[in-house]
Amino acid sequence: MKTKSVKESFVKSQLFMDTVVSIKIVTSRPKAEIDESMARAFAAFYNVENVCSRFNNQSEISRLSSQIGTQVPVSSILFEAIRFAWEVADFTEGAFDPTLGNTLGLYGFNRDYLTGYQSVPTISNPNAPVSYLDIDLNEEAQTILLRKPLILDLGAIAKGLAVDLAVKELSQFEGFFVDAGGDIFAGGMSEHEEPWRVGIRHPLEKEEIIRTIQLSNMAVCTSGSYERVSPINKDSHHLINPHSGISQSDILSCTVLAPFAMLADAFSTAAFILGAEKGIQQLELAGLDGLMITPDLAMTMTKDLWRYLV
Amino acid sequence: MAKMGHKMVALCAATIGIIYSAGYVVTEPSILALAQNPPASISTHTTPNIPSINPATPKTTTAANLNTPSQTSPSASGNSTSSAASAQGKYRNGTYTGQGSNRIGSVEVAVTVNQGKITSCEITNCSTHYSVSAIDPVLPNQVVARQSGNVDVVTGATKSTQDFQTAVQQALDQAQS
Repeated sequence: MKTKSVKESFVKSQLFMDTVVSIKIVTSRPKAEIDESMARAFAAFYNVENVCSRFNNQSEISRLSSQIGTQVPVSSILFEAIRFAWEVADFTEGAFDPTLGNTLGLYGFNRDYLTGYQSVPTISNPNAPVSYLDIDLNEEAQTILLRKPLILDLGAIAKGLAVDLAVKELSQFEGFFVDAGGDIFAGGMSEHEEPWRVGIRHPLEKEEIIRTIQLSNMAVCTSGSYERVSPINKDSHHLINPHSGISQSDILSCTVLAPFAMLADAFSTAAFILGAEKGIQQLELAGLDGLMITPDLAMTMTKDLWRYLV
Repeated sequence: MAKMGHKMVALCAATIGIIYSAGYVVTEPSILALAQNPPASISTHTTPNIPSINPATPKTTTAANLNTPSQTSPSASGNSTSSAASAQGKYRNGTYTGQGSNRIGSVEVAVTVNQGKITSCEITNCSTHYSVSAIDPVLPNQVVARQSGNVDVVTGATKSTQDFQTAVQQALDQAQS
């Protein structure tokens, strides 16, 4: 004879990395456990932000960016995050690049979101173009060497990384999701006893859903041109093609599904830069699924994405 | 092709595993403390850490004081109270609430400061819904959501915190005053 435990839902939202982070837990476990797990999950965001945010001039990544030509010892989290970024850059032949910090700064993406202070310096006349190849990683020594003056930006993976670390704190619950402003990991079942239903925001009609997917124990991230517009040039946005130095405009949004949010985050950025056709090819190559929306609202998809569509 | 296809997935799994195992110190114990003892109601309060009068420094700065040896001597010995004040940094410790309105409704945040740094900004009241449940019947775009079936959460390009800036600034103003 089985007694069904009553499950309740708990939601909390906090601001980190210039986004609203919401965590929902569906469980019959005690409140004290939920509170502690929520706190640890949010702490993951606090820690990742402190290490990886270029908007905080005291963060480890900002201090690293100011040291050129020397081997700098870094923490495990920063070393691994930069190493992963480097690998994605290599895999995508530079469509994704963590050395874009200066370009982003010049486009006006350089303000601390909480205080509004412009705390991020920019290199106004860099000697030569920089790329991920100017980063040297020494795994044995756990050091990083920057060959040229450049500003590191891990924006495209830091949120996903924080989500994945937060998820580690929630695995004991029957159902949960971590939503970092649309970068999501959904675990287990929703309160309706089924996989989580995730709506893809319509890129033009912001209050509408264009398609719905359903998933469990998976991450989904969306990159879009419509949310963060350059304060300096309103025709530009934050998804900048590292090869051309200008923002990509062939598609409106790219949604990627992956077993980890950091992976989905990185590849939704890379695929967006590559455009409708090459982006999908790159996702297939990486073993991921995704969907891209063009300005005329047509969609291209990886061959297995249909499995997730509702 | 299959081998290459799994390379990035495996790499990501390894990376997350290494970072998680290496551990990161929850450098702000207030976060855990807050979780265990959530305030019954988030209310505005000030923490009187900064003394309003500093007895070590003479108040007047007229020319007559230039002759006083204590005026010109290094401040180290007599200013123990003022050094405590300056160690607070820009923000005073505590939890501060702020309100604001955004495009669709009103929001309230609770900003917590510990050791002079902002450790959390929690949304304590929000009459709009941000990527949480769209099943709530009072949500105005519920009809649209139902066209694709109910959704639990929405994925879209990362929304900025702009809607909360007024509320956060109000809270930070109290932490600075």
